[in-house]
Amino acid sequence: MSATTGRRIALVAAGLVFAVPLLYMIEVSLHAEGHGLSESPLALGGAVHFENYARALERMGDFRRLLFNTVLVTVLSIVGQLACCSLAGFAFARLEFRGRDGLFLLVVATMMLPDHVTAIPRFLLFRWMGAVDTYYPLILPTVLGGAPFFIFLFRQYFLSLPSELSEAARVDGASPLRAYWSVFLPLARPMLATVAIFTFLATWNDFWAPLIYLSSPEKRTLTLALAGFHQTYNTAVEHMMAAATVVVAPCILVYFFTQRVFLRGVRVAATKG
Amino acid sequence: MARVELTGISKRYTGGTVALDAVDLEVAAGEFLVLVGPSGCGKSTLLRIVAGLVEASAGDVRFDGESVVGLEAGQRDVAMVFQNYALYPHMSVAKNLAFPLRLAGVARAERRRRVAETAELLGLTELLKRKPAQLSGGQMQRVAVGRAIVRNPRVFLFDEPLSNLDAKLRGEMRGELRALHERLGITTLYVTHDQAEAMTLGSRVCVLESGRILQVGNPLEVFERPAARFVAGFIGSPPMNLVAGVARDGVFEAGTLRLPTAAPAGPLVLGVRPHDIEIGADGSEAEVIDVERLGTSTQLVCALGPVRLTLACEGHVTTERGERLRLRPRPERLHWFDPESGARVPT
Repeated sequence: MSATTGRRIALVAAGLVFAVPLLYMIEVSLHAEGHGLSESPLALGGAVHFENYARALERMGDFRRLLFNTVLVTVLSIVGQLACCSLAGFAFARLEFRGRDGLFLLVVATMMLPDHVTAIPRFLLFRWMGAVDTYYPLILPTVLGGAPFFIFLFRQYFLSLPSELSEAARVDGASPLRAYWSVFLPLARPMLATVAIFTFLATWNDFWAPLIYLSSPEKRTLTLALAGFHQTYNTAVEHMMAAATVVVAPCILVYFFTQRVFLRGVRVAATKG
Repeated sequence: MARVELTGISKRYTGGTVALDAVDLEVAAGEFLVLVGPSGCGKSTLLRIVAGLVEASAGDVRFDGESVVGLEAGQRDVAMVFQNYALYPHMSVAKNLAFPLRLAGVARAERRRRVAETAELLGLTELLKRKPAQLSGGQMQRVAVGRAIVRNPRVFLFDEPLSNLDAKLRGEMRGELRALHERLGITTLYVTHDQAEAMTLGSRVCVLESGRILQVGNPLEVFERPAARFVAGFIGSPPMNLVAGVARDGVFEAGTLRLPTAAPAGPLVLGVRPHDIEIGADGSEAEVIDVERLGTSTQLVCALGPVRLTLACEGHVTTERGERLRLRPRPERLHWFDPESGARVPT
């Protein structure tokens, strides 16, 4: 057995560890109602119940509304994240101002804080602002630089571009903002794509923030609806799995088609110091 | 075009490094001045201070008598060409050329006209739609020059623009830059560490070392009468022979070398160019220890006791290693320097 074959077998085995739960979810979602867990997972047999999907969407409530809410929050988060993190990264990489490096260290240090530590102060802040049960608490933290990791990514990327580019822009008469917009941002396309994908996955899948801040049923996102499903219909595993498949499908598709960008982002984070 | 005056320019970095130490320099309107010196001598820092990219710790920069200190780089009406060209990689050649005009608010039709004119002047018309990655080094250099001249700036700044090109292309570009300067007549400051560029390009040369100006003058003057030992060794190829010895009773002694000198008695450094040493019947005896045949000339390295002298002879000579010769540096072509300060000793 050659080294390549051995490596392939190892990769397939590792891939299976991650793929089996997904495949199992899809498999269960196609069983007849009430038989999802009682039958052996592999005994799919002849009867495939695609109608579970229609039932599941129906039971989730207003699916279009849920989808719209989720897309709205996701899109605004991505746009905000890209604008804010690239601007901050540009400033840390290319502008000279007093206390810059100290400030950057502080930003990076916030990466060490788990979300759950800041959850209560953040909740109190948004309550004080009267923003509970709105989308602001879901979007604003990303727009206002709540992602130090992405700021770090952009900074590293901008630092990797030659400093003469910003000098040339300055001599040509560009203000820092203009240099950012006309020179650095277009060159950061690979990084923008990476951050957009990371943000998409994180926001789309986010359950925690919608759970804390959203209470009106018409404002719920897909993940919340999925959780609600669990409580109301916890016996209909097939429907729940069908709903989960629908919710998770965009993430898998996005990842599938953008793997290269995604991995490049991971590599940049790992290699640029 | 503008007259550029630099007075008392110093640059100190936190940590105490002194990049420039009270530099005074005046560049006449329309002049081509070359700043030359080894890496770290402060020449690029000086250029960046003129550009407004680096702030001086002290001193004043004036264009036509008006101080530009405190003005942003973009407000100084200078254009700069960088060593690595610094073209905007995502823009086509046409957009690169138009970028400074767009920022200056030049109308689209006028922009087009000037880009076309500049492209024509530099032979870039065929390349206007290409991206920088699709250009050769020489073409990128031309685009960088084009981006500088398209604005018709008051002052041109070049920061080692030819050092990324191969030797042949460098020679061609030198000629083009000279022709361009003659045609446009824009005040130019040109930084290089290459003494050949300094000698051939500038109407005047300014030699810097360790943040200080050692000599300013026209290239021939700097070559013929170097004001300091460093200048003597830096300008000219092959470099000047510099021999440390002692002057005693009007005679300079070093190894087996004996030369009359009018310099006062004491330690002294002799400078003599390789072309200024003759082989003859009289003179100091020397042994040839290395021969380099370059085709148009031959370089001989000779030993006079512990002293080494390089000779440059026209054409091809038959001298072989190990031969003994008598060497006579031409007395009217000798330079004397103080070993302590490095300054020229007047004789």
